[in-house]
Amino acid sequence: MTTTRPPGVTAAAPASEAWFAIVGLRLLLWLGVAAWWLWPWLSDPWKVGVSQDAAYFLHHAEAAWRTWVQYRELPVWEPWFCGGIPGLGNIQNNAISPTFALTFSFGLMPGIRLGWLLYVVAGMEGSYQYARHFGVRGAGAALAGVVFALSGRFAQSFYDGQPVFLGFELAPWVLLGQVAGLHSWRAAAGGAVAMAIVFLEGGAVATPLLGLALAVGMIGHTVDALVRRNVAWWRPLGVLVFMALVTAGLSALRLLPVAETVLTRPRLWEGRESYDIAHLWAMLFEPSTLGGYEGPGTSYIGVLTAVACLTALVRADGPAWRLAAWAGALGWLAMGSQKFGAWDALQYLPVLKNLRCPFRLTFLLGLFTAIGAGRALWLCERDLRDRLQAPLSLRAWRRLRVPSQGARAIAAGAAATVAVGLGFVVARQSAQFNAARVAAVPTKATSRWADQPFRQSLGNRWHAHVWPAVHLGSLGCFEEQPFPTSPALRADLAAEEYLADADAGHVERRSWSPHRIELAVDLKRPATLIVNQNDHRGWGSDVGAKVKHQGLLAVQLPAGRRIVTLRHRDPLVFAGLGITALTTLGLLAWPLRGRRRRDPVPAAVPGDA
Amino acid sequence: MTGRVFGLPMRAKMCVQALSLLLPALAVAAIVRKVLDVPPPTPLDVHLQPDGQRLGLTEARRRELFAQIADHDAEWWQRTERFADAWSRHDDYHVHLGRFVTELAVEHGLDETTLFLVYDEGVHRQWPGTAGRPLTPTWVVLKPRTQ
Repeated sequence: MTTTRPPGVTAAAPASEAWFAIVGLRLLLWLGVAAWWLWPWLSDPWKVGVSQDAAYFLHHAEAAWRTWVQYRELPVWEPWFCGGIPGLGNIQNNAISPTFALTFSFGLMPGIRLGWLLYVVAGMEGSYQYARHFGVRGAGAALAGVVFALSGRFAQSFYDGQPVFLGFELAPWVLLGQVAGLHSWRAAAGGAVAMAIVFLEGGAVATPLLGLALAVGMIGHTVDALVRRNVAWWRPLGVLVFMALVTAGLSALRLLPVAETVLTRPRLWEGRESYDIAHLWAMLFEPSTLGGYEGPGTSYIGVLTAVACLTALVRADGPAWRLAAWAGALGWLAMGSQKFGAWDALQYLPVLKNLRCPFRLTFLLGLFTAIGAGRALWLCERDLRDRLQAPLSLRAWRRLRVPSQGARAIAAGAAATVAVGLGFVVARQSAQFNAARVAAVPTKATSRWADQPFRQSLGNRWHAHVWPAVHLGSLGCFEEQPFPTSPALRADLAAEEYLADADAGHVERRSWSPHRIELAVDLKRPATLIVNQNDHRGWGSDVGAKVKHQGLLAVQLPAGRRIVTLRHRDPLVFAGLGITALTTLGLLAWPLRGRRRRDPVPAAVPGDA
Repeated sequence: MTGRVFGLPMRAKMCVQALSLLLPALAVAAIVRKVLDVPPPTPLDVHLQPDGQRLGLTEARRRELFAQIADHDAEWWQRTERFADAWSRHDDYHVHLGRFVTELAVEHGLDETTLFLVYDEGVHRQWPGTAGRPLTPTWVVLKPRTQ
């Protein structure tokens, strides 16, 4: 609801907006806040959380890093885990995440930490921009940015050792792309780029949950379009389809191999989870340090954020109620299996039926509540300024011999100071609590690195990060998907490449890389060459026929002395690379086309000053 | 996107915006410098020396450490019997093994990686365990949980 201004009062944006509109100052604020929040990790990047998932994700990062940096290969195959499994095809792998490129310049651990910093900064800027789309300006939008990007669910991801959830920091960009996409296809493409990054970051959970949020949003926007007739009724569906296609195109390099493994070896989940409203409330607003995976305070955004959001709702503010409706729908899903639960309906949908942990939607509940709080703060600043600038107040200023122009500036400045102060109090409650949780994550030193010829070891998946660092495969492993592994893998072989019939001849390794093994073979008679790695359809040999030997990679070779080269080449990756390249080129070329034909200007948001 | 900047004319506004970007650039440089200030852990020399030393430990010392781990082999397998399937039993075995290796590393003032490499060497070279037999060098097929 737009407040009625007294006569003579300008409709200018509040004073705090002028400061936050300076991009450099805003980014400086985001960087300062993010660096303060992540300082325990930035000040000592060479440490890792003690949880099994922290070891797991670091293992895959180390494996990808070795493949990229030491062997100059795309990490399609991951020989350091389970005796060899798909790398790019593993939905939890982030080997080609854009932030991974930071590790090439700064080293693995510093690069990972700087990537985290980048995500938090992106989360703040994204929430700021998304809040502006709901008519929130200045300090209000900044409050939304800080509360969401530093929310408890992100702090929890460090506790759980699951940094892949930092991909959720891009949620506001994805949602902004959808809502702005109603008026601009370019904005929708921007949202799709954000969604592709979430997926490439290893968003096994973030991607489908954000997809779910987009679907809910699409329904809301369609209803809105039918009632308010602000856009064509089909546009919300068109935006969703367009974003899905662009996301798929951009991430095809990873999407195709992932689709293959997900469809052929799905991640099965038969558990039923349910959370009542009190549980979700406690997760978001109870400053408890009890912890747990979904315990109280694990998605903390502060009671003051809730109170602020509530004031916007009490004022019957339209955008705040729209946010509440969206949050309500997602909250209903977050409750999981209920008598009249929406979550159970997902059981009938492919891929989504294996989604678990619906409480993770509290990431988005936190976002909408934070924007609602920002909306309240912005309304508060605007109203305060309007009151101070009202004719009665101006007469008071004149009695103090202050000219009306100066009086207006002082009034706006005073309102901005109050808003920034209030915003600071609200944001501090949440940020400080979550920063303490980030600092309290139990850690230990990362593994030391070593170089030696690759071979399999028994390893240990609870300390999974140790093995790629010392260039040994860990047969002991865990994956969410049932990748085929061979029971014939061994950790005590004299050589990793050997003959089934040891008397048939001699094999010697000449060179090794994750995707290329070169062997000198001298055979008295035809024999089967066995490699101590799992077989995969991507493997092939330049001599003889590739076969499977008890699940192991093997080649039937003729007699004679020769060099045999085994190569891993996945046609799906090549196809995906082509699609990704074409989509990227298409998006890069789009602005050139746009110079001739511009998108229509977006409609003004109600309540926007 | 950028909104109003103190009602300045467009050209001045663009100058302010461009100059303002120097601030975050300097902040990024300071943060990166701080992150890169911390040296990485020293790499391990895993190669066997002519005198039998590896990882800075003599073979006798490595065998002794391995024996301390292998001594618990039977006990840990016994503890895994509460699980019905083979994968869970193997996984539980590694829980006990991992905890013990971490404790042993602290006790001997060694790092975790060195201790795991000693354990791996024992398995790979088939050093005898408690019953005089080498430890089982195989694993079971991956079986993810569904509950």
